[in-house]
Amino acid sequence: MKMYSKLVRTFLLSGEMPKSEKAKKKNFYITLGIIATVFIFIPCFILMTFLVAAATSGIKEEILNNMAYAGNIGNALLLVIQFICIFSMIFGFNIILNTFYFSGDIEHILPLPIKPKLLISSKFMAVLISESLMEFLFLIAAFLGFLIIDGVSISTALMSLIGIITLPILPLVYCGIIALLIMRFTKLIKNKNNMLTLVMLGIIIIVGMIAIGYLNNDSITEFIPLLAQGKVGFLDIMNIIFPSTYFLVTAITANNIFAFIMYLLINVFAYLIFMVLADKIYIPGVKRISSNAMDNKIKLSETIKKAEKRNYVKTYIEKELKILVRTPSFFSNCILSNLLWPIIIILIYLIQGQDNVIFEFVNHYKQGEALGLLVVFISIFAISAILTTANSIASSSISREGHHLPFMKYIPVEYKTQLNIKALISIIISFGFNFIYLLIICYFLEATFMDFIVFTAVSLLSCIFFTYLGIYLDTVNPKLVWEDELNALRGNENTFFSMAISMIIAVVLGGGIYYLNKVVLIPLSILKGMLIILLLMGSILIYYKVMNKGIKNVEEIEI
Amino acid sequence: MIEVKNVTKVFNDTNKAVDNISFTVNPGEIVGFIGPNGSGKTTTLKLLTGIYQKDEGDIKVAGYDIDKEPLEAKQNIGYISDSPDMFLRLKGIEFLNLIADIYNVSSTKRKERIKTLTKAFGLENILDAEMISYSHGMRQKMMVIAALIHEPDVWILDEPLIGLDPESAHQLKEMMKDHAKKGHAVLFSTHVLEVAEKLCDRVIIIKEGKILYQGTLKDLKKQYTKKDLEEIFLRMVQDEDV
Repeated sequence: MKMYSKLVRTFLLSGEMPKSEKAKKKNFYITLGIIATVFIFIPCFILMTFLVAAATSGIKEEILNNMAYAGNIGNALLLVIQFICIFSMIFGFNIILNTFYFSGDIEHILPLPIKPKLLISSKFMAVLISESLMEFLFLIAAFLGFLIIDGVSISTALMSLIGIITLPILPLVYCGIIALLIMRFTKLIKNKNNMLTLVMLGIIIIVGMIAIGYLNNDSITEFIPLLAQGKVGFLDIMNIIFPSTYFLVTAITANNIFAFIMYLLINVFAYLIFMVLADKIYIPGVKRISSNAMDNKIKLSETIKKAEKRNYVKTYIEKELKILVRTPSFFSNCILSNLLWPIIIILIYLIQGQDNVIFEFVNHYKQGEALGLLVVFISIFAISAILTTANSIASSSISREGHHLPFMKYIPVEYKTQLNIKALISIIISFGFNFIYLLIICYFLEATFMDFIVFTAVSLLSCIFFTYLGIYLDTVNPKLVWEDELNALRGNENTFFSMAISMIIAVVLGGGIYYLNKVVLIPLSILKGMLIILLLMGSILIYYKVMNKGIKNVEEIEI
Repeated sequence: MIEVKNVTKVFNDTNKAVDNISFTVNPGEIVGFIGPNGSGKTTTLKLLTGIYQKDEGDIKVAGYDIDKEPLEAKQNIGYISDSPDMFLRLKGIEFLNLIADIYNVSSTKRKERIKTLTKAFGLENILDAEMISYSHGMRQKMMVIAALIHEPDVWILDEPLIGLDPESAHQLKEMMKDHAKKGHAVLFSTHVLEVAEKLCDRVIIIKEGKILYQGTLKDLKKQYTKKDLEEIFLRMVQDEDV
């Protein structure tokens, strides 16, 4: 047991972000932490609580009208935790694979006299703890929302608490079993090549299609009665995939201790299957990973033709892009993640059906109303800001260097050039995706050419501003010590902080423009110009901050 | 070629990793940097290459001050770091092209250098593969090739022989000798005293950030009655502890 807890602690520590020793940087980070808590955690928590409470309240009303549906009071909670389980699987697969097979500690730990069972169980626990922190927040909020409406007793509170802690087990067990089988019996994922990314992409597409397929055509007004009647196909499918969720919700809604025991038994059973399987096939799977397998043996006379002089800036840009694209963890988190936003927006659109808010604003815009234009304008700024910060290309640009960071320092290339290249990569990718989405949005909005130009300018400036902001944050305290590439991004607070700042700025600018337009009565055409000038000035300011203080920060990094 | 004057480096305001050291490496010299683990060898080499910032003192490489004219100084350095796991997602040829472009090496020159160096280290046919598929030794050889591709005046090598097979180690030692013969400078750290004995014109022995000895091994041996270098080294280090 002592060895188990020591191993878990070691694995958890290796993924942690080191804290700066300098008091000034410490204070800066504490301030950012408070901002992130206030602007990300608390709003997410309140939103989730409100969502579940409102839906449960709606279901309760339906039940009052028809007592036959009494057993379905927890269906809103069930739906939410099933979604959480899906996301847990999507993100968990990559993490399980990295922790179990590609983590740098594997080759040091394998020769030690540690039983495979102990190694596997401690790695699983470390993944469960580190991966579930954000999940716990959403689960607590969801359970709270439900219990506020349905009432709480000591037993339901206790069952909820145990449920919150143990719910992520089943999705992670699934990820673990899939990873074990793939690594032992197939050659799909070797040397962490991009097949891993394709497997992840496959999971995302399949889950997305299931979700869209089952939620389609259910408008919000029809959805609550359907939930109350238990006629949501998505729930049925997910009850089969994640049976434990059904028993947990039944246990809490009906105060049914037998259902709760069933819930626990399913988790224990699933975990045991995973452990037995892992005990048999984990080590052989690890041994199959051949890091020395040479894929390409080509004669020097052929390869040497590629040795042509080019401008070093071009080559440096190519190097950054190649590393982003060829490293599966970077590719999936920094590039593929940009594809998630349209899926989320389509999902919101579909859930809301015909009488949805998005549709309403589209109509306002098409009719030339100021409110419509205002909302579209602010939305484009906010989407560009969130996409640029959430893909973490900028906010992990120094962190991704890891122990290569000295390279930046001993080559005869100015820091200014190197940081600008990193910024360029973030701007190209973030704005590239933004521009595609912008084209689609403008097509649906039937936007005028002038509006399209203004939207493009806002989106580009937003990308530039948040790119340099992300780079600056990453120069202050980069996460340079990591065991595998995924850890450079996972738990990297700089991404989180830049997202929090982007949300604050979006809210402040949105509120400010609304106030100036509706109360001070400044025309939108002037406000558009003012926002562009403001963004331009902000971008110039943050650029100079990176070129002065940011460079100084890089000079001071010692690894 | 390398001038270090009264250089001090302090980590976290308390840990003096390098304590007021001074030395020079002249043109045509191979100088070995010897010391136990944690003695300050790697820190000193990182100060010379601009990776770390010194707290006190002056450093000049190839006549350029590393603080005031960093780009000029770095242009003249060929540096091998203590870790060869660099940019493993790049192919060998891509990595060499990146370094050659950064150091402004012409197409003809780089082709010639890549041919010579890859042949010397037996890496001719693997340059089109991603470096993640290379063995540790192959990666170390790539670092050596990359460091030497622009024919720098000053070689600063941190444990360059670790991970190399005997043939490649021999090749590199011969290259170091040739480089010095041409009037250039080589400073390298090592734990292997026999290598220092055979290769170095002078050695610098460092412990806890302070230089214990600098000069020729011949002179060092004269100071001690025992002839074996290992015993002299151990005695010097132990004397300091006392």
